[in-house]
Amino acid sequence: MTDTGRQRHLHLTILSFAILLRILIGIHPHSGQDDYQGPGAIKAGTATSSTKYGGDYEAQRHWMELTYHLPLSEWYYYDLSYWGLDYPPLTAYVSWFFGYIADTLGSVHGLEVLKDLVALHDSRGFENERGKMYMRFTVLVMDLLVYISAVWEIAPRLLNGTTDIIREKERIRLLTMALAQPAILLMDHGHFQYNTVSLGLALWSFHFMTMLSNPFKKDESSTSSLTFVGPILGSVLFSLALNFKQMELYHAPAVFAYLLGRCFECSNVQSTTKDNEGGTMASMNNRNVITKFCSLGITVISSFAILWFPFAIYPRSGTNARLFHLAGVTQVLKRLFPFQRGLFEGKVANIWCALSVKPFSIRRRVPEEILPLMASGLTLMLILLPCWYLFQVGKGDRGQCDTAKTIREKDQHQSSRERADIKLLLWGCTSTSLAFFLASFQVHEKGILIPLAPLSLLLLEAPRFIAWFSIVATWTLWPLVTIDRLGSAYACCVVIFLCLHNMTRVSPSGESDVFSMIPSKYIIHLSVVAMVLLHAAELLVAPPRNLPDLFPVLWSLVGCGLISFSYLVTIWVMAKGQTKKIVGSSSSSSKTKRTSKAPMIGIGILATILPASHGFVVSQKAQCYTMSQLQSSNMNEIFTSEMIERAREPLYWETQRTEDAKPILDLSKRDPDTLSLSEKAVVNQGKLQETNTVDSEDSCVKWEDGQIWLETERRLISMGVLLNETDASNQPMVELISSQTMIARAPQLIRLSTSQVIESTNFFLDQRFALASLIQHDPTILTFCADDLYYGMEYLSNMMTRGNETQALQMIRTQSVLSPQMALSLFRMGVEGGIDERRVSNALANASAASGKAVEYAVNDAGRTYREFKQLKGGRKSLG
Amino acid sequence: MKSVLPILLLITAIKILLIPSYYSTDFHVHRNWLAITRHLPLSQWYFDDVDGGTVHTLDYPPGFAWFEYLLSNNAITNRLVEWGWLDGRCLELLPDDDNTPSDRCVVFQRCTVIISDAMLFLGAYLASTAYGDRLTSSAKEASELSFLLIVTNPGLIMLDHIHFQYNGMLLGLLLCSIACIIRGDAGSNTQRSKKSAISSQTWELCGAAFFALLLSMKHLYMTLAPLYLVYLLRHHCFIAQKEKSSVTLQFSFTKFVFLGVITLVCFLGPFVPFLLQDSSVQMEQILKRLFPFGRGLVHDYWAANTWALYLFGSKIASFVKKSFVPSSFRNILESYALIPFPEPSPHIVALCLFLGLIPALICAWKVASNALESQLSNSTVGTSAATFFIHAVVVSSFSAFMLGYHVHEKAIMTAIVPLTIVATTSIENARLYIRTCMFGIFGLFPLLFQPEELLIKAFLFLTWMLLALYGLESLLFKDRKDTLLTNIDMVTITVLSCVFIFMEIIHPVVFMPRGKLEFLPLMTTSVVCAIGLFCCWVQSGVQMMNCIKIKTKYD
Repeated sequence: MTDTGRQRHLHLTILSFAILLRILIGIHPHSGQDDYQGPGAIKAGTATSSTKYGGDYEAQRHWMELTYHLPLSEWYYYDLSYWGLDYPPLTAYVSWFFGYIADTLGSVHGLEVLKDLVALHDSRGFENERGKMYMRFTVLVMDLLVYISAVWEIAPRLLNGTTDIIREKERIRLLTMALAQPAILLMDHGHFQYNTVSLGLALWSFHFMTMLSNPFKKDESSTSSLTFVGPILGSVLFSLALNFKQMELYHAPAVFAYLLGRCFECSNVQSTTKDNEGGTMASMNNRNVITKFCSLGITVISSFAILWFPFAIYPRSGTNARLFHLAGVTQVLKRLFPFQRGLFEGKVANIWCALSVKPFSIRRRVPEEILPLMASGLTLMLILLPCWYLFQVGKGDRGQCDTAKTIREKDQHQSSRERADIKLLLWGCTSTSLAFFLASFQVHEKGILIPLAPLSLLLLEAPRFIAWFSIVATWTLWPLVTIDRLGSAYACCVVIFLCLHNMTRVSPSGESDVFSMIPSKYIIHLSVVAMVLLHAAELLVAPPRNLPDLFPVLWSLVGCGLISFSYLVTIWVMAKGQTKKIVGSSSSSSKTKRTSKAPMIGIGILATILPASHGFVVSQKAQCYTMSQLQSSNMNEIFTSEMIERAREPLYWETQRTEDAKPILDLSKRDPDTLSLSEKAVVNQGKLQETNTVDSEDSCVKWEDGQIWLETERRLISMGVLLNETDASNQPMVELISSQTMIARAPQLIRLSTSQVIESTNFFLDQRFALASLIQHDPTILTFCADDLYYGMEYLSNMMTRGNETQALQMIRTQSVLSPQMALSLFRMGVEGGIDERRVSNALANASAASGKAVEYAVNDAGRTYREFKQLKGGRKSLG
Repeated sequence: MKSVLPILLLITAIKILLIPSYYSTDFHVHRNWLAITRHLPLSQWYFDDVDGGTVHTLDYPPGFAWFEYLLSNNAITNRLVEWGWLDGRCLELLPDDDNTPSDRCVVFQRCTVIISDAMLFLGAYLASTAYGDRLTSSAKEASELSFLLIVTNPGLIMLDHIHFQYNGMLLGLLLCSIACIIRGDAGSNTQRSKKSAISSQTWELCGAAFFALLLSMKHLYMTLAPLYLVYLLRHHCFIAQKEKSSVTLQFSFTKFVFLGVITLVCFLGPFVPFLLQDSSVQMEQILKRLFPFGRGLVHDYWAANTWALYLFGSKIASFVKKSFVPSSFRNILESYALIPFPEPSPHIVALCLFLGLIPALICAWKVASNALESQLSNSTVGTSAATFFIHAVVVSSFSAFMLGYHVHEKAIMTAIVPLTIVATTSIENARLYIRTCMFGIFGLFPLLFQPEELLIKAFLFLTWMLLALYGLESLLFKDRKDTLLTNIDMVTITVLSCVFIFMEIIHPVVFMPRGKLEFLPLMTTSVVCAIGLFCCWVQSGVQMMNCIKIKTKYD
């Protein structure tokens, strides 16, 4: 995307505003400022001050002090009762670095306090405006270097718009919103932590590991096929993230599953040419998998080793000096995972906390030892599904990879896969981390930031859901926020976030997403009411004396419910994302049929996830040449042999007809064990036989030189469906596509008879769909037969709106304006479902006719026998 | 103007976020005024100084005193004190050496500023829509943009919500008055009926009333009074009449009386209770407080005006004299007492200021007559008297800032805020606006001198400048890929960033420890900004003249 000066100004405005917001929150109190421990704990605060002063701010400051002044071997041993170091080594190194900087700056005039800030032992409980400024500054710098830069880099990959203007708007929206996440701002710049560093590293790693080509050789054409540099770099970065904060483990299963999938992905396009050497290819692939897996493993292990190595080689004074000893490393591990602390800390909005409330009181009923096991079991169960999906995503689609023939197509396919991959990876990371947050033990309130970071980048996929989730996440942090006296900052951040959400909207008509579904709509309204009511109640009503913790408990209960709902939504989205991918990739496989019979309501959800921005069609001049202009001169250029080859590919309904043309009960197969009806008929995937096409024999010859298409094109232009480029003066209101684009995307059109195409076009025009935008997204809809289309509508209305056809039409009409992609997938589903249904009913009718005949025969036979018998009897009687 | 509400919420949220930031002695000033108006009888307001314990005496006109009275004596404040949320000490008369406010007190006072900013919102809305309604093309976007730029102005945020003052409210009043004057200029909208012409007279009366009210609250705006007087006298009190072929303007005495009565009522209303007490003593005391000429030619920080340049020249001259001029010449120079330059007396400054205002006044008279004449002859006028009036307000406040006696840095906001309304009309105006903001707001930086505010002021300024650039560029250039920044602007930006780095980083680190050149950063800032603003002043004058030229061309 080339930035004009103006766009650069806007981007800089956003960046500058994001920084400003962080600075403004920074002037509010940090955790434990003046040793304040919350409104109810003023006395308790003074009591605890003898042991521990302040909060996380003091902890971070203390770590700077101790890492700077003490030898590395002492870091994880030094006075553990006073904010002992319990974060992984990278945090320790960063603390050392900032301690070093503080001490160096301390010798500058006016900044002498910085020396006191990190003075060993004397600085405990040290508070000073300038010291606070320095600490805030360190967070800001890290945030800028790691998190903001990551968001900046990933944002362009997540846009859905079709035109540059919309893409730009979307980019602005995404950047603004992702950089104004209230929960992240409040925790890092208010409460004081360095979460953005680990989250930013994780985002960077997602960015790299979803790259299919070498991220450092952009200019080179990607003919060198897929490389594995991205995942390796990604895994290094993810190890760094894990080594900054152990909570990043919440993302780890998702990352692992995805990378495992990447190991199994089809490695080489060249392999398809050696189809006959199937056996050797398989072994080659296996070898490939192992090499990839090993290289990943080695990278991860070595990056861990480098970070942990110093703790192994520097002995503590007093212990006997050996070359290598594990005591240092085990001490770090012990500090990182304190299992003895209990199931959860404080009041967290997760399942265990909710279940330990009175009626359930799980902690009293279940023995202490089993709880961690239960927690791990449940977590495992919850992360299984997203991980499986991510594995599939990583593996990619072999079939698609093979069918890509030209370099350009491959490039296109690659970039679209990269986009799909990063989106699904982000969804997956969100759902695994939500699972951890909900079900694992030792969860802290701040853990909600871990699902929030990847989710906030997906804003364009489901704007309302994600905005809602951001607010919910911030809301669950309220008890922590009150302890830090950040109440006003909390309110302001939420208001600013909502205002930005409102101001940066891409299309004025509103965006549809998960919350367009009716039950979800109720959930959003109810949850907002509940959240506001709880705030009001806490402000106005004093909790009853026997229930002093009433509000925190209510907070965690409601929060748990809402976060569980969000978890379900992420799973839902992942599932839909998977099926969408399959639907899009190949036709007529058994999978398609299965998905086409998936519950229709699911499709409604899928619809909502698709961006609504497509409704925002901006007139823009297409820069293609119509074929009529080029007719005489470069006809060959357009009707390349490649195009003709592609045009020969059978359409969905054509393959179905081919299949139907075969005898249903394959009587030639005389195997009594298998009934051929149940067996999947072998579909001819290859070249279409001329006899199967709708066109007659002689027209088949004609379509290859473009005669049919010329006629079709002329008719379509006159109907105002195609762009008329010979007459460019009067620009149409909506954007039309040129004929070249159309046949490039739906090559079969050049083969179908003009009357048929016109008939289906008339169908669309009659139904008053926004045909232009539909065609712009997928011109292949014109390849369907008109009667299939009519039946498809009927089918759709039967399935979705209980036979109310006008309602179904209305729905598609609205969708075709709001989100043409959705309308298309709905429509496609209806038509293909219709075709399937008719096939099945035809088959059934045939079968019933056959069975009827059989019965008739049987009855006739029986009757004849009976008559004969009677005759026989009568004969006997007469005889008798 | 659909996005008004989110903008207001957003900017208010940012103001609330700024509550814990640094506040200057002006905070104590206003706290003391709250105490004075809450606890003392009216007659004591302008006399009390806590037995000599405070320098924060009431030195704004009575209108503002009544505003403080409203803040300290209302149901909400009383209730807050009753509930114990607000400590009573916050509203007590305290001597300067013992006036540390509680956190709640700070929140209370900051909130009064935030709430009083509603006036700014109202003024900005009225003025930008009033002006936007006159423009035919892209009026909506233009007025929306000027509204946005007024309410988010970082200069006002820095002055009101960090430094602590009530400029937003006062400028809001000024904008209301300008909005009324714009609506009152029916001349350019010939399609208006007779009925609307009557109501346009009412609008002008409203504008005069608003301005009189503003004047009774803050006498800084007195420098705009001549302009209002001339413009309204000509535009409001004269009636165009057709006599044979020529158009003559007839003075309407009734209208003049009407205007005068309304203005005086609004202006003198707040004074009445004081006059009822012991008129001569009170008035003398009020005037003494309002015009303390003993304070010197320039403010502590040297507001970036011509007097700063004058003093800088004087400093240079004495430096040259000391180090380069041979001693024999030095004696001669000293006998004339020219170096350092003589400090001008208040009278000379007042004369300079008046001379500075005159061009605008002459133009105002001419434009108003033209407007009346064209109103009658039904000729379509390109640029209206309203556009001219805004330009004239800008030029007058600019002149007041550049030439006034003991000018405070914040006075530049009086020029910047009205300029915002016309900035969206043409590229030249937009460039002038960007430059004025660049220098004017940069000149406010020394007010927030602590390192804790360094990043806040820098990023407030940066964010807003970028936003203004983007907004104006996308409005004025539409699809063209062009930028408002010329090469000169790039040089300015470089110079300003060098000054900023020197002032905020190099100087405190390198020079401060040695105690050398303490005033160098302040002087550099004000001299650089003064040079820049001087150019902007000239340019704004040119823009005002252009306004008339376009007009005559159409005639």
